[in-house]
Amino acid sequence: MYELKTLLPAFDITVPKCMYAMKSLALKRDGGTPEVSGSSICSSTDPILQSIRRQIDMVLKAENASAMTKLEERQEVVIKQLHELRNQLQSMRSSLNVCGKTIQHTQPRGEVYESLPDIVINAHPKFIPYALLAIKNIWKDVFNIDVKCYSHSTIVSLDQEAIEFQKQITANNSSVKSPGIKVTLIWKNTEHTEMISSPTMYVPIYGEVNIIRYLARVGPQDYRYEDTTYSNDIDVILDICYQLLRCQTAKSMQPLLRSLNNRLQKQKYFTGDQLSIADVAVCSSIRRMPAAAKNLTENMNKWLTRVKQVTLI
Amino acid sequence: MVADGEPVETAEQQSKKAAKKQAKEAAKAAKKAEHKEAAKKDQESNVEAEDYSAGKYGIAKLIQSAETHSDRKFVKVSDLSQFINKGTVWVRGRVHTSRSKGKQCFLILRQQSSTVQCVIAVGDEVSKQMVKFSGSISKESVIDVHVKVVPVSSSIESCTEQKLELYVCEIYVISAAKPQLPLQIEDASRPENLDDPESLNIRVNQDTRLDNRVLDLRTPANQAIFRLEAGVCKLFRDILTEKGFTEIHTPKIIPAPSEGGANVFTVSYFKDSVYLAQSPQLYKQMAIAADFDKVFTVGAVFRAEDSNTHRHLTEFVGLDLEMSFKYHYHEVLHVIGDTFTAIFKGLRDNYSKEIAAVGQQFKVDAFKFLEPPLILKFSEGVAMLREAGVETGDEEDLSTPNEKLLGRLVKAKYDTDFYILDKFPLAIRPFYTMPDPNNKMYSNSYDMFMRGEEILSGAQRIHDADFLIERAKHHGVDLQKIASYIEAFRFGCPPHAGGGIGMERVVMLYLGLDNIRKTSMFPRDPKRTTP
Repeated sequence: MYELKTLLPAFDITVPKCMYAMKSLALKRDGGTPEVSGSSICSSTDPILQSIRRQIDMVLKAENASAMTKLEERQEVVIKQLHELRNQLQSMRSSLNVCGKTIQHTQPRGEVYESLPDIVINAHPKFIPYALLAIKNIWKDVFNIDVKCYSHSTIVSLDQEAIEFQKQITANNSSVKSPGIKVTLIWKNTEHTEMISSPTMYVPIYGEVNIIRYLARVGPQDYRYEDTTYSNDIDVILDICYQLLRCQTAKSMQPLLRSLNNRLQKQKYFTGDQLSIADVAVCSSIRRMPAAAKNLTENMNKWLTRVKQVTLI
Repeated sequence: MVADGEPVETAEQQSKKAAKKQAKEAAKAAKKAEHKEAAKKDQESNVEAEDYSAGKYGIAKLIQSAETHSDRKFVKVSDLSQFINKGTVWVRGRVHTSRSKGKQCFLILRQQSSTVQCVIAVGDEVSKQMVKFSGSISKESVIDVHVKVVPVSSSIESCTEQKLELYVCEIYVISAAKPQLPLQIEDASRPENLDDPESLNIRVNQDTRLDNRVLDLRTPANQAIFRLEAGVCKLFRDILTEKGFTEIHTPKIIPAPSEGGANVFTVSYFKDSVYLAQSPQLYKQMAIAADFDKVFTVGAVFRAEDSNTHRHLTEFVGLDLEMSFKYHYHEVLHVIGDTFTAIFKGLRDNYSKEIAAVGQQFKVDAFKFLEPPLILKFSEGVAMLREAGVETGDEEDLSTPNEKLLGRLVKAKYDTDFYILDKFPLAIRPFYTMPDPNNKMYSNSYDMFMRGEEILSGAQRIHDADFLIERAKHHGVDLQKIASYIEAFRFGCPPHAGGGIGMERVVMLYLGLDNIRKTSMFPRDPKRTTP
């Protein structure tokens, strides 16, 4: 600490009786010395003060052992309080969450993800949601996506590609026994791929990439990107995929593919060395748009082969 | 106003002006009479002199199969388009409407759901008298016409055959209708536009319709409904026969009430009294015990329920099936579910015309379903209801409002009008229902729903006599009354499950109609046994 020079010459101060005597903060353990602490610490040559100082040192030394344990106890209390505060914040966060999902940050990967509402995905057999299959394959050892397929009466018959997809998506290849999320996939004559979770709060989520976003939020920890440094990058890539899936001509895909290529550069994956949801989205989008697959750069092609090995689509 | 032949006494008091007026009036009347006379004379002379169409129209002799007229080539109204400008053909149909306009008569001919416009105009072959006769034929009379099929430039909106009309050469009334009809076909077939305040609001009461069912059934919608109903039966038979089922016929006169005993009709039987079958349940099961493996039956079922609701009849057609299985009753559940899907698909693909015709009058959404059918557990259904804020117990049966609400929830989530609820609580099912092997609270039973209304209720039945007795005792059923039922399982019986549906209810819900009387040709309810 700083040492302060005494501005005034040392002299006895008569403490007025009309006021409360405050215990010295610095000398809390020393109950019997209500003197002005400032003067006691300063390097004064006053013999009286020096003797007091010695006395204090003595007392401090004597009580040192017990003081340490008390300090430790205090620390424990503080840590406990911090923990409580953290829990409170967490519960506030989950209650304020828009999607009404429980944030499961504290759950380690591979554990049972309970209380996820089962979801219904409506898709047109012409627009097969390959991303779902890709995610199911990637997560097969950590998170079980249990899919059941149905055909809606607005669809007269399924073509070969959809039947093949249905066979793969309904296969039970997960090593995790309990389902992480139950998905009902309905082939339906619908314009958008849409997701419905609760009939009472009927607000569908439209678009394949937004379904990817949802799954990324509730799925294994490693794929939750919201708190990572890449969150913005991933969101942009997902949005590019959304546009890509809406392209009618190969020409309109060009600028989108170019910007994807710029983002990938020489990296192993879009966000560096770690496979992310963005890779899944781009991969499945290209899978659905054969025209896009033809116009890839060499770099992108290499990346695609790499990603396809894990997504299996 | 002063009428003709005013008493003379008052003439004296009348003013000059009035007298003048009267004179004028009288003159007018005289002139009118003269005119009339002349016209009459003229007409009479016409009849004698100019009816060159005689013998080409009139009321035909009562057909007693005296002649074959094999030279007359009859064509269906819906096939007329193939005969445009190809000589003359014959058509038999009903007069839907007719409209005379001087030298022309427009007549709309109806044949089942098809309509076509006929023109009878004065010309070289058609006389004035023939036109007049055509205009006087009462609505709904059956007529034969010999016609030329002619294309029209602007399509005729009021007919189903819009691209052509018929030029009549000959017209005969085969069977005349009464001039006064208890209801107009046009009114009975008017679309129900509840939202449109400007539409004509003339409607025919349900009771008027049912009292004059013969006329009412002639509307395009009713024609379509009963053709579709026939389709349901045909599909049910075809699909199950394909799956290896055998059709059986069960007695309708039974010695003891088959289900419970409250809602059964008692009829006198010589010196005794017997009951009318409430369901072919027992006989289906006996057929299974007799090694028929898979059976179905189509037949009348009677329920003495005094409930006047939109969905209860005292007599209806039951489509029942029962089938033995190897190890799990889901084998049966899937067969029943697939049968329904196949029926829905068959109706969607082969009866689209009928569905559209019904839709013309009753605006309803097309029936939606999933393939394979959606199967939910009863507990999942309860969870969905609870999520929607409804408080219902785990072992509580679905009340009618809850049933409807659940139907809406399932529709919102899965967009299907058909679904299956599996694993009902044991407590709310009949004593012969097999309990669930893993959870004593539930049973191996299922219900199927269309547009949120229950249409089928079925289960795995207990096929072990001793266990059946135990369950019957638990339910407090009088063992003596069901002795013959239990006896059927004493000689070995394979495990089996099944269910039954009401044909009228299925058609009503498939089409989204609001009353089961619309899908029963001659409905029987607590208040009606006629016609």
